[in-house]
Amino acid sequence: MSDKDINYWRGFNELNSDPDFLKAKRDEFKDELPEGFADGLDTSKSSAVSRRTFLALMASSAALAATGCSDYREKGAIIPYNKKPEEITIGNPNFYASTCTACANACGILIKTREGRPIKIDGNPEHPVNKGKICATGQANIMNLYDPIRLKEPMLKGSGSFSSVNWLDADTKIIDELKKAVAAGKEIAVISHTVTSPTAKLLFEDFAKKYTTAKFYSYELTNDINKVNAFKKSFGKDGLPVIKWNEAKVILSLESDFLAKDGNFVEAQRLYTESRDVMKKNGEFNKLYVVEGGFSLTGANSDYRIKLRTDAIEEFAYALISALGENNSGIDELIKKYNLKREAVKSLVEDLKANKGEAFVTAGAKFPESTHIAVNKLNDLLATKVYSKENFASPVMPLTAKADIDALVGRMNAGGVGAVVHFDTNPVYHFSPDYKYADALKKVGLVVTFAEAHNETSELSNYVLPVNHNFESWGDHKPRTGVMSTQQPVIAPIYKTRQKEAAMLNWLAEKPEAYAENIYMNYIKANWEKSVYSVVSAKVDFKTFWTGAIHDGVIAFNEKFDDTFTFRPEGFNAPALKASTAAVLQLNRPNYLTDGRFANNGWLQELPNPITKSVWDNYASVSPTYAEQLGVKANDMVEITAGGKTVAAPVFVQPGMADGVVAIDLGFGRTNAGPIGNGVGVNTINFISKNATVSEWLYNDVKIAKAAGTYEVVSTQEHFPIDNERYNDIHLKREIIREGVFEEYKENPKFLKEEIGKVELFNIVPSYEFTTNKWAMSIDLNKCTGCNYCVAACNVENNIPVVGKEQVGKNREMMWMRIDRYYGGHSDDPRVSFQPMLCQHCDNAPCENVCPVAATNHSPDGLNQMAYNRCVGTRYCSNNCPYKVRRFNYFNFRDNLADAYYEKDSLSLMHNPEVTVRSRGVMEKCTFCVQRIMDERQHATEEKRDLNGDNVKTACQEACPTSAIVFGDLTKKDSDILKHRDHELGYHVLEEINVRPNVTYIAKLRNIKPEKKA
Amino acid sequence: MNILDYLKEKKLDRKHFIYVTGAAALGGFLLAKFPIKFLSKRAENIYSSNRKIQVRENPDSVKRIKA
Repeated sequence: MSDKDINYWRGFNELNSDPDFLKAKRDEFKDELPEGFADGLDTSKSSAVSRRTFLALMASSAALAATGCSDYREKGAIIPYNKKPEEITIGNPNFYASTCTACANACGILIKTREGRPIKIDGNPEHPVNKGKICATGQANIMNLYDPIRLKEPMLKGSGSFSSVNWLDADTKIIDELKKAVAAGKEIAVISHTVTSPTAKLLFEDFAKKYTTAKFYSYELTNDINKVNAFKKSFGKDGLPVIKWNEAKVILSLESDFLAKDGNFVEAQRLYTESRDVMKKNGEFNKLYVVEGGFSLTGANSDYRIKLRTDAIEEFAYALISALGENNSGIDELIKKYNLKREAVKSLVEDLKANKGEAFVTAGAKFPESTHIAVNKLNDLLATKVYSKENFASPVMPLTAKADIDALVGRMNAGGVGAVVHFDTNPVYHFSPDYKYADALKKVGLVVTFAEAHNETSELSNYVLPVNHNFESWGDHKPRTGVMSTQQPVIAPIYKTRQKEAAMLNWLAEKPEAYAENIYMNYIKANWEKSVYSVVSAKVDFKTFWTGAIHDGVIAFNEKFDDTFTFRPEGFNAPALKASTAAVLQLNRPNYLTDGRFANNGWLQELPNPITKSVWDNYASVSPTYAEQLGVKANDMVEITAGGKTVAAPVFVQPGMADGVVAIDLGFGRTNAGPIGNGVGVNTINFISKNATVSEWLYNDVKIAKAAGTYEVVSTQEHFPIDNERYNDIHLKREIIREGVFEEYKENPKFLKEEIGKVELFNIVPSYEFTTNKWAMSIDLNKCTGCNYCVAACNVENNIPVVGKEQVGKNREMMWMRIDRYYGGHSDDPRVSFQPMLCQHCDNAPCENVCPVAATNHSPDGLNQMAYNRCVGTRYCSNNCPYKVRRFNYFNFRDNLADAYYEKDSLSLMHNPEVTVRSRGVMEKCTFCVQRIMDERQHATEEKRDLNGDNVKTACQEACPTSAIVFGDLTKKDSDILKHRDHELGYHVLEEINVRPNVTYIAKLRNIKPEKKA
Repeated sequence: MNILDYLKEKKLDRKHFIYVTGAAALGGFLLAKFPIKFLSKRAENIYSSNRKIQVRENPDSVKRIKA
């Protein structure tokens, strides 16, 4: 039977020729509309526009829209060099040595430029102080150079508002007013920050010779003036000793955050971790004790942390002095009174006694003189040898005493000050409200403010003169004896700005029309020829010497100073600071904003606080117990009253703080910082009293009360309830963090491998053989202090966008690297572990298999790659990543934040041209700085040699002050990375899931008594 | 008179329609080239005097020779 003979049917109705079925089949497609079809249809309500008209209108609209979509901005012309300078190769960066002036530490820096634009800052390896490392603020300072809020030209205040004025007119008028002030016998007050430049000091002296009523004042919002005064009383020296942290076997920090905020913390981190190096065979570890009321980065890195309310720490110091003299009664009393950890305190006393000469005690700058004198006595009893014999940090110009500032304001109010010149300072914001400085300014005839951008002080000025950024300026700096570092401009001023010292020289010369960009450079050269060249006994002529100094960025020379430290008992009596029954308020320097001058820097606002992991705000940190007593929880508002002043702030519950202590950062709450910085946080400078009973940064007559409302403080890290049994010590249970005890490691170096055991892992596919290069990284958790400098460097190198507080609140921060901070133990006294987390570049990457468009794949040299232009944004890769290191561009973040602030032209100059700027809808992550690998590959090809993995340094590795990060090629024998990978303390995170990560972590060892292991 | 009614009555022939559309497109193109400031704050930002930033090196600076 053929197909033609078979009768096909779809249902029984068809098979049985059901009459209803047949009728419906006949009527399915009718030529005519059925009757009554249009009944009730009202054609007057249908559109008057015919289909033809509608299509005509749509077509013309589309044509108009298409013409409007063109990018009509004029991009300018690209013109090659007509006569190319010899030393420039297009496409190759240039480097300049200079000095960072973000704070008074004056670290040496190397500035990388591309086509004349600075794009990256790193430390100057030749600088003897910071040795190639700088802090996060120094890294992110590049953004301030290109910040759109920078003043472009001088401004003159007319009737209530500012208008542009040219430099010639401004200088002529100012010179006139200065001369009038001198003629009238009125003071000319020049107010600057810490003066680290000997040439600037000379300039001030010359200025005072010409304008005879000129007086100079210098201040810092947070400073170590109490420590300096105490050292003067105890040892008769002006300044502070340089500490050889690497030679101290036992360090006691009394609320001194020397690893993050106090003194030269970049140098301190490097030296401190030199004694925590497991790569050294038979190396010994130092021991760090921290006694604090707050929770600092130094405390988080301690071996023993003793929590004690801040205003009881001076009593503790005196009790220790007695204990060193074999009288333990004071210590025992304190242990009982404050419920201190007895074993930790006993261990501290024993270790101090056993390590005389190699023990050192330091106290935080926030303490009054009396505490520092007690600490000086302790160090004298310990006969400490960690004071450097080579260098001493004597100030070029001491900071002005509070009494002198007070006297100045008094004279301003009395009409005795004819002119005030703010030398790139912002005292209206920084000074204590007790001075009523803003009111006093109104009584001064001429107020001139040099500033990079408008601030709270410039708003009240007659003239606002725009200054060069750090990278556009000449200078010299002397951070300590025997070290002079140079500062040079790497770019000519972008706008019509001038160096403030050059402007002052102009006023000296009284020839404003004769201004030239290099007048301050010539002034420095003249000073160096007279006072530096003759001292260093250089064997070359001055021109060569000068060029060499600018090229190197620093000169080091022998400079004698009196290196004996004989303790004088002046000021050493009984404890002057005693614990009160009220709460204690600590006002702390912020981690990255210095004194608030970086408030408009989005990278720094978004860099998480290393302990709280919070961004974009400050807050009142209190302990969990204290929060419970106050009846508050996280994000509740509280009113803090100290010295009669009240400020409201949101609460942050910080495990490990002492009860009765409130810690809050300064530098926030600015009102005229720019669109990014305005209104971020609360202004706690309002607490600062000019007549503080304890110190400007410490108050112990504090009342705290719950206030109405809440305020969300955003954190990049979730806060699990760590006392919940499920989450308690989860990082240890899941073996994300592995730790040990140093003594146990010495007895059994292979203890970690024995704990891990042999993990049976297999592949269902053959493993790839890496024959040429295989990139890998190692992170030593003994050296990692959790400072976040690597994160800042990565942000700058890889053009990471700033997303803003709201987006961070939705976990959309874009940083490729993060430092995970884990608490272990009870919330009253947790132990902290830090772990930098970045893309692990897994050999069996779970993200690669799931990409539907193969946008992420593996390179032949072991990198997990991203092809941004293939990515369609399914986010499946991020979903699959066990380390959660992938970041998705939910928006074009540059366009999304603060009215497209980061789309402005000047900020586009900041981008690193070696790295793609990603747009919306694209996944991104750490690339192991593939641009730097490619750079080395290119050089190797040009030089006809093999690629040398040791020449590749990732941005994070370069920035890490402790050299905790090691990167290299595993195929190279005897490479550092191979030694780290094969180290007995090396492990991988989540090894058991068989993704084969290429980041090795070296387990952290704590130098504690073995039975105290967590 | 209602614009739609007018359009319905005033039938353009194809030739005139093309002329009108072309003229409208040209007008839109010229308008896009020179946007009126009040239309967009962003246009105002783009056309601000800041946009031409000159990058120059300082002739007295000394470069580092970095290996």
